[in-house]
Order: sequence, then structure tokens, then C-alpha cells
Amino acid sequence: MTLFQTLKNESVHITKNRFKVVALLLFFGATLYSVWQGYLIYKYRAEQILLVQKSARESQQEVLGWFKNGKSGPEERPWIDVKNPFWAMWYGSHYVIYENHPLMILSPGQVSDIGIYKKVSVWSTPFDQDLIPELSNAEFQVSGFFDFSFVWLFLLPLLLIILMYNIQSFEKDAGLLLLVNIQAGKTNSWWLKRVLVIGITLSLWLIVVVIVPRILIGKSFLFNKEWIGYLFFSMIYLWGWLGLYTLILSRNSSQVSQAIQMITIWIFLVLVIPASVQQWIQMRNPASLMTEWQEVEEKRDSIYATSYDTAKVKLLAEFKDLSTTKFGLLDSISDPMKKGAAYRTLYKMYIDSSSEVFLQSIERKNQAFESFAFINPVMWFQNKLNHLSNSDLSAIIEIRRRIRSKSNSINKRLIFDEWNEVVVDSIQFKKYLEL
Amino acid sequence: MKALLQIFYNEWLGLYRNKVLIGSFLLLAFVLALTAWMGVKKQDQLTIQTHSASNYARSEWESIGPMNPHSAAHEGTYAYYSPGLMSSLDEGILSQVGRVLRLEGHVQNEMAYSARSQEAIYSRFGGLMPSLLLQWVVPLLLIFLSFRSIYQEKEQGRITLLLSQGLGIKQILVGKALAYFSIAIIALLSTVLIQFIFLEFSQSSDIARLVGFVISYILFYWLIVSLTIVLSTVLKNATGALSSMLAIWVLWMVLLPKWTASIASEKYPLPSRFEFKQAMKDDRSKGIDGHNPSKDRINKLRDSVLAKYGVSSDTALPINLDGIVMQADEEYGNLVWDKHIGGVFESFSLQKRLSQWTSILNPMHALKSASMSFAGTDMLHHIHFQKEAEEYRRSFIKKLNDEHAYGGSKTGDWSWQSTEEFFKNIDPFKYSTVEISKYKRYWQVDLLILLVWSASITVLMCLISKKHLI
Repeated sequence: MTLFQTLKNESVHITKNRFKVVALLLFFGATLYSVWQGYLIYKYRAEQILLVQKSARESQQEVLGWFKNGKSGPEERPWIDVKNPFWAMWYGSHYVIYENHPLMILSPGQVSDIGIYKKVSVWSTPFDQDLIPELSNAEFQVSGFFDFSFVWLFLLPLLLIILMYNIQSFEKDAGLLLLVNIQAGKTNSWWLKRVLVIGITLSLWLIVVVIVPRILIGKSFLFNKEWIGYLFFSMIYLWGWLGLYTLILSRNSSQVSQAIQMITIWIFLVLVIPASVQQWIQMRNPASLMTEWQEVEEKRDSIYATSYDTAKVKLLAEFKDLSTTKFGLLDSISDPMKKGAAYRTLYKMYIDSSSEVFLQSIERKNQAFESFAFINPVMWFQNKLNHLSNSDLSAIIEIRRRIRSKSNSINKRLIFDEWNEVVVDSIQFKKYLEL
Repeated sequence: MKALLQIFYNEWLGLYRNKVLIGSFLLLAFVLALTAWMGVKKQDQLTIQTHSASNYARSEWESIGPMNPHSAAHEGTYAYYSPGLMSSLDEGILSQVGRVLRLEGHVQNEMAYSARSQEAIYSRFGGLMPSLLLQWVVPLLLIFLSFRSIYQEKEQGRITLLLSQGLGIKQILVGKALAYFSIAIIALLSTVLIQFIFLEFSQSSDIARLVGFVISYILFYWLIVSLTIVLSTVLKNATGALSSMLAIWVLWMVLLPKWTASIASEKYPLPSRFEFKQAMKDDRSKGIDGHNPSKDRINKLRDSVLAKYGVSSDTALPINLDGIVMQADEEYGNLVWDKHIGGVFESFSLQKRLSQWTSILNPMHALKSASMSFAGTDMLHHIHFQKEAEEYRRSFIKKLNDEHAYGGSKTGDWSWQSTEEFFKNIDPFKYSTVEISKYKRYWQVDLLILLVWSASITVLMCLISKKHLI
């Protein structure tokens, strides 16, 4: 029997079985619905990002207006003077904003577990309490979004069970295998072709679905490496499950036995193993209550209590060029603001190095997860697809690192300008905005 | 009764003879034991971690030293959420939400540092908790065990044989259903029993929660088994019964909850974080009614305090006006918070109520809701903690502001310090899980829906049997 003939026969078989038809239609509907859901999330994030950018621009324009009109700040806060580098930077409305990737429509991932934007000042740290997610009902988020990656990674194997559990076993239970042998030649090649038909149909569907985001947002990312990678890994995943179920079919058991074996594998690969890995890792490295971070923050008092001479030595060791600034040349400083700037910078340096240690510890913890990839392939694929969509844990760590980096840039610029007694004007302020 | 037991016994015997099934049972037993062990360990760990963090925060507060009370309000302290023992059965929303709440002056923070923000997605359905097995695995196993049970009898013509032996149709169906149901009950009770023994449930409130938990699962398992038996009876082939049950399972477990969430979020929308912050900021600076800016409020308060003490300037006051202003601002901030976060909490409750009523179509939702509710890990319990912590924050900051105002300093004197003793005498935050009866109007709806579903399917099973089997 040719592949075409098998394709025809299998199509007839599926279309004659209304339950398989309903299952297929439900699955196709679910994939399209999931892409639409992903698009709504993408659109919402994009709108929020635009709102934040607009608000930042308005605040910056307001400050430029103060410079233009000779004002020093808001009327109700007379102590503020934006000609002072500290206040100019404070009112700079610096933001770190997550970059929305188009593939996020297919895998919104876990970026929503923290805020997708943050206003950054000299005092900001990657672990600030205001880096929290959008308001949402956590009960609705227990198993994440209903996105395409969910449908493909978790529901696809169930669809395959419905389509495949009675391949060959039905004929065996009904005593028709001999008849098949006569009509189709070798039984093995007959049922393998049937599996192939299912694989080809679903592969074509995958290609169609993965193109939809491009149509929705009208951007060309069709042939970039992330898209090809996404398609490639989704395809591998499909054929991986087909291969696994084919192994079960090759044992030539009864329908019930095949169905039970298939669902047992699904239960283990999708539910039990990932859940065991999570429980195991969480027991070894429980989610932090961040008391260690409190210890870091509480170091502030001891830093501010060090003598100015010691503080200056440490400061100059980090920023050598500070010695050439106006206050760097002086042996002692009487101005409490300038002195405070030195201690603030030292404290920031300490916070900075500590935050990197924390970020690295999160990375290390998740390297442990990588080592489970061999026995936890489903979640490996999940994180791989999220990674290609820039919505995995590394995207969260990246946001935290960008907050750290921006706050450091502000800090470095501030200490130099404060110690050089720079008087900020609109040109200088615009330079601050570029940080 | 004897005939019923005979059917029950025969069904068990059939299961026992199937090597694949025995293998699956053994695997399930192993996983259940592993789950129970991990649940107990994790609960112990959670308790130790929370106690240790709370002790650390308290020791930091007590060693704050002499300090200006307003600076101490900025230093603040922390509250850590520790769910009750029942969370070892169902972790509910715990991974999604943070367990750390910073309590300080001027601002009401939200709970931060969720587990999900610190880890890659290890599992889409949470850790290996009993709820994962009891909600996902056991129903699936029941479906796969029973989807051919009646069809097989019809196919092999054994139904007529059983009837000729004097057995009633209802007895055959109920006997088979009871056999599969008993497997689920063994899995449920053994899991709960292990938790019960190792976690030392002793308080009556915990036991009441445990009983509610078990009842909700018992109702659901009976529903699943009887529904599969009904489909196996009604449909012409086994594929139909399996596909239908799997479709129903996917619909109940995955699709309907997501659609419900969409409908509830649309009907009772939440503001975006940006809008929320902006509205809070505006209300605080311009006044809740938009006509009472903070500057006017402060001037009015200042005038009334000066009049009360019969003086004409701040410096002539025998007390510290700054502390009074801070407390007034704090109280105004509380009103703003109550208005906005109160609105958000109200929306959460309305969303929950709406999604609960959709359980009329989706009993799985009722089970999940009841399970989280009895485990104390649903949104309502989480909100309760936040409200308690906020109550504490208000009294905590008021004590500091009162000390600032009436403790002996004068207006504008920011160098004045309170003694360490004063700070030590402020009580720490203590929290214990709320009584389950507080949310009975929610879980009663869940149990009622499960009961109605189970009873209806049982009646259906009895009604349809004759028509389809003879």
C-alpha cells in the first residue's frame, strides 16, 4: 500500500470516527484560541509600555519647561532645585522597560512574574519591592497562560493518544490483523505509514499556526533565527512524542493496554517528573524570602559610619578620575551634601556587588534545573521556547541586570557631577536622559 | 448486596490480572508515597524558613538603637506569610504570589519575591503536591480504567449472562463504579493519612479543613467514575467513551478555567499597574474628591493644632507638629489605599464568585476551588493575610508618629531620638490562619455544586441503564 493510499485510508478512518474529528477540531480551535490569547497579552504589554514611555516623556518635558522658565522645581516642593545634579537626575524619569518579542505571542512565558518596567533612580536595586507584576487574580494564573506553547507541549500528546491508541490494536482485538496483512502487505509498514500521516498533518498545522503571529502584528520576523528555532524545536517535540508512542504501538498490545501505557507516559513526562524536579529543587534551594538582601541593605549604617578618609580611599580606588574633581582634590569636605554623595556612592558599590552575587545565585540554582533536562524533556522544551521568545527566567534576570546597570550609570555620573559642582541646565539634563 | 459485592470483587480481580495495570498502580503508589514525603518535608521547611525570617526581622527591629521615630518608620519591618499545615496538600497560589511584605511609613507595599520570579518554569502545574496527583492523575487513571468497563461486557455478550444469573442492571453498573471508586478512595485516604500522621494535625480547625478537603474529593471521584460508566454504557464504541471523557477532562481542567478567567476578568476588570499607581498618586496629592490637595489639608491641620494649643507659630507648640502631620498624611494614605486596593480586593472576590458559579458547567473548578479553600491557599486567605498585615502596619506607624508628636520633641527637630526600649515595646506582627468558617459562603457553594453533579450523574446512570443494556 502506498503512502498516498494510507493517507487516504487514514483520512477516511478519522473522518468516519466523529470522536476523533471532534478531538482534532477541538485541538485546532484551541491552538488558534491560544495564539489569540497570546496576542492579547502582547498587545496589553505593548500598550502599557507606550503609556510608561509617554508618561516619562511628559515628566521630562515638564522639567525642561522648568529650565526654560527659570524655575527650580515643583512649586509645592521648594527644597528641590533641578540645577543640582542629584535632583535633575531624580526627575529624569529613567525607566528600564522589557522588550516585547513578537514570538511572545506564542510563548508569553514567565516575564509577567515581575514588573515589565521600572523607574530607576540612584537608589534603585534589582530586588526592589516595586518590581512586582501587573495586578491579576493569582487563582487564574496557577497553571500560567493558555498560550500556544501550553497547547503544543501539554495537549498535543493527549490528542496523539486519541488518534493513535487503537492503531493496530483495534484490528488485533477484532481479529482483523491477518486481513490487513493480506491487503496491505507488511503490517508494520502499514501502521507506521498511518503514524506518518498523523505526523505530517500536525506538522503542516504547526507551520500554519506559527505564521499567525506575523499576520497579527504585521511584522516580518518570519525567517529570523528565533522563528526558525521555534518551529524546529516544536517540530522535534511533535516527532519525539510520535516516536515514543510508536514504540508502544510496536509492542502490539490491546487497545486498553496501549491507551494506559500512553497516558502513563504522558502523566509521568508532563506532570509527575516536572513536579518532582520542581519539588526537589525547591527543597534543596527554597525560594528566598530575601532576608539576605535585607542584611545587605542594613549594611548602610556601617558604611555611613566609616571615617571620611577611609571612605575616600575606597572611592578613589574604584573611580580614579574622581581625584581630579574639585572636591576630590580637597583633603576634607565640610559640605554635608558632597560628603553624603561619597557615602551614597560607596553604599551603591556595595549594593551593586551584592546584587550581582544574588543574580548569580539565581542563575546557579537554575543551572541545577538544566541538569535535569534529560529526564525532564517537556519542561526543557518549555523553557527553550520561552527563551526564543525572550520570556524565560533569563529575560527576568536580564531586566534585573539592566536596572542594576542603569542605576550604576546614574550613580557614577552623579558623583562626578556633584564633586565638580556642575550646575545643570537643559543641555546637561538632556545628557542625563541618555543614560 | 451480595451480588453487588460479587461484581465489585470480580472487577478487582480483573484489574489484578492485568500486569500493565498492576505496574501503573505500583507506580502511582510510589509517587503518592514520594509526594507525601516531599509534602511533609516542604511544610517543615516552610515553617522553619518563615520563623527564621520573622525572627531575623524582629531582631533587626529590636536592635535599631536610639533613633528618630520617623526614621524608624522608614526603616520599617517585614511580615512573612506562612500558610497553615493544610498547604502541604494543596499549595494553591503560593508559588504565584510573594510571601514577603515590607511594612513601612508613607507607603503600603505589596507582597514581593514570589517563587516564580526566582526560578525557571520547572513544572507547569506546580510542585509534586498531593493536589497535583489527586486532581490530575487520579481522575485520568479512573477514566482509563473504566472507559471500556461496560462496553467490554456488551461487546463480549457477558451482560446477558450476568442478567441471567439474577443480577440487576443497576447492581452491575454500581458495582463496577464502586470498584473503580474504591481505588481513588484508597489513593486519597492514604495520602491524607500520611500527611495527618507526620504533620501532627491537632487543632480542630485543621481537622475541619481536612474533612472538608476529603469530602470534596470523594464527591468528585464518584462523579468521574459514574460519568465514565455512563458514557461507556451509552456510546457505541470504547473510542467514543475514551475520547469523550478525555475531551471533557481537557475541557474541565484546561479550557473552561481559562475561559472562565477571561469572562470574570472582563466582567470585573482590574486596573493596570500603571493606572493603579497613577490613581493612588493623584488621590493622595489632589485629594480623594479631587478638591482637597495635600497642601490645603496640611494648612488646615496646622491651623487647628495651633488654635488648640493657643499659639501662633509651630515653634511655640509644646508638641511636634511634624508627627501630627505625618499621622494625618498616613491616615489619608490609608483612605486612599482602602479605596483603591479595596476595589481590587472586591474585584477579586467578585471574580471568584462569578467563576464559582461557572462550576455549574465545570465541577472540576468547584473541586479546585474547594481544595484551595480548605488548604488555606486561595486568594481569599492571601487577602486576609494582607489585610491583617496592613492593620498591623497602621497601628505600628501610628505608635511611631505619636512618639514623634508627643514623645518630647519640638516641631522641626529631626535630630531627636526615641530610646531603644520604646522600639522594643512595640509588639511584633503575629498571624495565624483564619478559621475556615469565615469563608463558608464560598466553599459551601463548591461542595453544593459537587454534590448536585454527583447525585445527578448517579440518577442518570440508573435511568439510562435499561435502555442501553437490554
